Amino acid sequence: MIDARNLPDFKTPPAIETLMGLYFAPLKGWQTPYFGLFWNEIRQDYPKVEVQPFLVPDQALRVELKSEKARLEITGEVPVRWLYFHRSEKTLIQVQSDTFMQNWRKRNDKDPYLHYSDLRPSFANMWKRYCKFLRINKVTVPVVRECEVTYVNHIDKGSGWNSLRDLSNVVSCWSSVTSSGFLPSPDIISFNLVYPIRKKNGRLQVTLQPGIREGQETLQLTLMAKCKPESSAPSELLNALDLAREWVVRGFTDFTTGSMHEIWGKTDRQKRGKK
Amino acid sequence: MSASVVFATPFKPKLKQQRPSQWSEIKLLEDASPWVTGCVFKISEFARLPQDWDSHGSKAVTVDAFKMALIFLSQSPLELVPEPSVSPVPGGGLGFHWQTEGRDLEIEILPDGQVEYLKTVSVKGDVKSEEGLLETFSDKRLWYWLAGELA
Repeated sequence: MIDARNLPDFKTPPAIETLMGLYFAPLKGWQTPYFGLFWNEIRQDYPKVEVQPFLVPDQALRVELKSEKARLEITGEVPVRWLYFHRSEKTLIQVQSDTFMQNWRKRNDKDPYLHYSDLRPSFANMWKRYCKFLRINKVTVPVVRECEVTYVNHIDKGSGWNSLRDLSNVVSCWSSVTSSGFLPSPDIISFNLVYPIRKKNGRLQVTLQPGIREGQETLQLTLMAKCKPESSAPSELLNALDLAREWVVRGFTDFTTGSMHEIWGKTDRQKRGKK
Repeated sequence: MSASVVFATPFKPKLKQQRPSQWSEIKLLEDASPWVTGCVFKISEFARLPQDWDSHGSKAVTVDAFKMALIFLSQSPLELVPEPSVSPVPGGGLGFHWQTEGRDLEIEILPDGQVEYLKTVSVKGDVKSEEGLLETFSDKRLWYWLAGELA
């Protein structure tokens, strides 16, 4: 595990959700009933489930049927994604035939922020249980293509910014200054930046989008790092996830300003003795 | 019978959902039509009005009314909702108003965050009104009514 003592840390970070995920080639031998059988294995800790549409890559084609009487026939397995909710209601596992994910989310302001070091062991444990389940049911072992770590941050209006004119107070690479001052303040600003992670043939995607959450105007700042693991061995997967997490944390710190770091209580992890 | 398949989605002033793998919910303004962002801006401005903003002793817009107005905007089926006129309401609330041919719809966000509607329809000089509490924003009937598609 990367020594996290050198990574920036925050007392009250704006993170409201984190995600650790593994993407692999579609599993040969995986069938829809296995979702339920896997639930049976973990039901004591994950008592609630939901079935959701299959996650498709962003660039996938969207098909829209316009006729109300249209019939769409799908032969074979219907691709779905199952969500298994932990009894704490703080984490969930998402499984589909080519993806395994664990999400943590902050339910309210009183919920403490769970660090990566708190969530990593449960992810590793659930992945181990999932792989064991696959082995027992004679489903192919996943060949992991990519590891993902995503942090979703909500920077609420009133906390360092009051209008998009103030965005340069939040984001270090933004300047509201224009060449001749003709343009007014924009109504909407959204960013989508992709940085290469050359070491592991990966990338860090940073998106900033204005939004409304429960009657609160906010800026959703999402940092998603994806890395290719050396192999599908659990230790290599965790190494790749650790690197992705390092990029997310360092990227977040680099992308945001010192004045926001003060609001979020940037601390020296080494002094706090936190890993 | 044949189904037509389209490969481009026409622009609709919908608010975007979060990425499907994201658990926490948010409505993103990124692709919203200009009137929606304009509305959010106006509501924010009204929320900053001081007490007695109308020189008649009106209260400032309450936090509950402001939050509920944003929830109303973020949860309504915006692809059906035409641009409203927005105003602060004496007492600390916010009002949305739509007027179409013969039909009039007022939505008032009360200071405590409750939402009331008043529908008025005029047919050959005969005016009918209906009012009530609006408990869910995703119901499309109100907007079909405003468009004249429902009686």
